[in-house]
Amino acid sequence: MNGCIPHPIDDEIHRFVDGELSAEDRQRLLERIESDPAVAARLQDLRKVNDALRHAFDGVQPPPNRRPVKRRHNGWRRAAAAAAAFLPAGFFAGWLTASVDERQSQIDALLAGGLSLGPNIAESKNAMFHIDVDDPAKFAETLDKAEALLETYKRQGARVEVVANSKGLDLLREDASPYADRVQQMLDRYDNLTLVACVNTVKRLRARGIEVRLFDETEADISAVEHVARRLQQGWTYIKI
Amino acid sequence: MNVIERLRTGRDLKRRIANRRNRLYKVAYAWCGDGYLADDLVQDALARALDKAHQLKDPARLDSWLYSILNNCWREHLRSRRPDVELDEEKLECPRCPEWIAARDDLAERVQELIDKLPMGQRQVVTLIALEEFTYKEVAEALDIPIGTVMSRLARARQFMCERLNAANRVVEMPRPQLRRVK
Repeated sequence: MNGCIPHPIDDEIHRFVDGELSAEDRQRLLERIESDPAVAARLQDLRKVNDALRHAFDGVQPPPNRRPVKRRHNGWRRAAAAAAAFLPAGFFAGWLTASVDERQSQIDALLAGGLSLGPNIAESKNAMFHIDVDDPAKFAETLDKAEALLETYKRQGARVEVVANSKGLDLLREDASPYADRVQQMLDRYDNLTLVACVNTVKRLRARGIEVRLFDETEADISAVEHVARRLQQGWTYIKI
Repeated sequence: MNVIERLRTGRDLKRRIANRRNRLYKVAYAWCGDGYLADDLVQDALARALDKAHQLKDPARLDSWLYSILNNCWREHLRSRRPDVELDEEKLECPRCPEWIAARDDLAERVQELIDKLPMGQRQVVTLIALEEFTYKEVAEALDIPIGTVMSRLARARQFMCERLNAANRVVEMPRPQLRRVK
């Protein structure tokens, strides 16, 4: 590698590497490579990255042949009904005053006690927090608990989702969240944290003329309940705030 | 097109889909870093593709279509449980292996670890371009993102990998012995 220093015409060099330049532009760049060592060095660096990538996955082969099977259609609608019927509440009593050990046991109890329909809950540390009210105290509670889970199970690669719909969507709104800075900090800090917004709620707000600006990294699902149901099928723990 | 031709075309297409398994697997593995999950994702993607083969209007776009299906499968699994792999325990010593094999495997492992550190969007773009040699347009179609996003993610991913590989090389580079003439 030659130092990996970006070049002012980086964009063009990337496109050269990827065969995206027209013949004319390609010729022009070739001439520039001859006369400009910085361009030549940059080109060499980018090609080396490509080579390293190809090499890294060169020997990767699937396991012995499996025949594609017809996809099973999971009964998420049944799960949705179950999720709606058994919303657990009150998991976090005494959290803020608990010691580290107590918190750990509370997290374990939370994961064990949260609603789950999938087969892998005993091993799964993945959890989703569902919020549908615009109560700042509950927003704070959601973020506290999400952060605690992410910290506790960092090494196990636990995934945490904050699913918001109805008035709870405010938590995910960059323009309206009372905890915008904290949410952004958490997104920057935890790769395993995902925000999921309910598209139906966003549509309803827009229909009322309210412009909604969500955090950049927010994902969307057409309906929060469907999303929750799908996650339950995958063995996630559901925690209603 | 008569019925027989249509059947034959459909059969050819399904065979082409099934033949993409190895390539899909490699990319799925690059995305998720887990062989079992990659296999499941590919199985799911192939099953969906075979189910929907009749919906593919332009067979020339088979690859970007297939990877868009794989992308959908991956997104659905994205935050599902991943098995813990203690990489350090997997690094078995192999004193009988020639050194150059060890060095080569180290590099592959390092690159795979780096790929794992990339944000998912960047990981998907850079692997489709490097491993599948997709055009920017094909990547944009497969991942359903604008071409500008493809380019910016690609640039960021390559810069990240370049810097990390560069730093790693600096660490392992040993000072070369100086030869001096002794009178």
